[in-house]
Amino acid sequence: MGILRRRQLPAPAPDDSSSMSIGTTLIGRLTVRVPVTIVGQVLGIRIRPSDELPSLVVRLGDDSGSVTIVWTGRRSIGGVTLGRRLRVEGTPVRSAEGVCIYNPMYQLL
Amino acid sequence: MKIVIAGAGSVGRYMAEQLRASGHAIRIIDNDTDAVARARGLDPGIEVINGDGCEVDTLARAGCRDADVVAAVTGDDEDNLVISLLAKQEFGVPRVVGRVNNPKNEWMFTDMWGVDVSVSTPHLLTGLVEEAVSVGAFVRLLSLEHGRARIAEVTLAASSPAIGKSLTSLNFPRESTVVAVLRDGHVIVPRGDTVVLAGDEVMMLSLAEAESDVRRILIGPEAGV
Repeated sequence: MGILRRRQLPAPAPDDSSSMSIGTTLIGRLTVRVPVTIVGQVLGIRIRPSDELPSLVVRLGDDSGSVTIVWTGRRSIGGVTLGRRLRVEGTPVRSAEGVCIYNPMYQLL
Repeated sequence: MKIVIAGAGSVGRYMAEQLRASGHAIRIIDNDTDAVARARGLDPGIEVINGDGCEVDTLARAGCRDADVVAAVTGDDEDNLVISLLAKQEFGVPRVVGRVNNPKNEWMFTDMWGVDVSVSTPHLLTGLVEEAVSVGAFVRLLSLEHGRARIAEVTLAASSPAIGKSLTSLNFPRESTVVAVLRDGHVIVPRGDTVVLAGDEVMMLSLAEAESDVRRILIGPEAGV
């Protein structure tokens, strides 16, 4: 359960949020099925109808491109708002709606 | 194709042997010593991984990183959901197949849990039994794309308004098509001039919105809904 366990730890303290950090990948250069860490800005948040199963769908972008982030089982995450910068760690997956990262570890910047 | 099977019970072992015989690269996971021992007695080309499929490390060891398909076929629906979610979320496996043991859980086997295709044995059995006993009823056999399209079958009763007509003249909606006509144990590949008779089993592929029209054409207005 290595990856899952790590997720349950509190997020590390915020660090330099001014620019691209070391060890992150440009969103335009994501490779499907290769785990990555990306930093980007919340460009859009999609609201799902209340009769559907809850999920939070966020469009995260940087200068090179954008990607869809999906958190299942919840409708909102405190601090994940339009314009917010996030660091996200997960695996890009090809889905019917394009490339998505499901339930990634995240850090508010 | 590279296929990872989670669960080496009778279902998993059977699948492993069949798929191996078709030339696929198979890895099968189980954490039950007995099941692992039995799986090791199968075709030596089948790789057996002793571990918990609900753990990311085990799935990585089984090669989920480059697997084409993961089939979660344990006898436990919770395990199957966890395996499906991890296969999709952590490894981006293109096709995740989940086995539903208890039909009450079927609603959860969707993309929310990483499942691309769910297979429910009780549901299939119900459909097949219904199909065997019902004439003039609309029996759904298989759902595709999360229920947006279905394969269904109607055995035509003598009172069906379709009897004696060609498929073209029945004017099926655009969102549906006849995929096969079964008559006296023969499969007839349908063409526009195929004429349907009482007792024919008509297999239809139709989108959800076309189903009521299809029922009306094959069964008639009263029995329609």
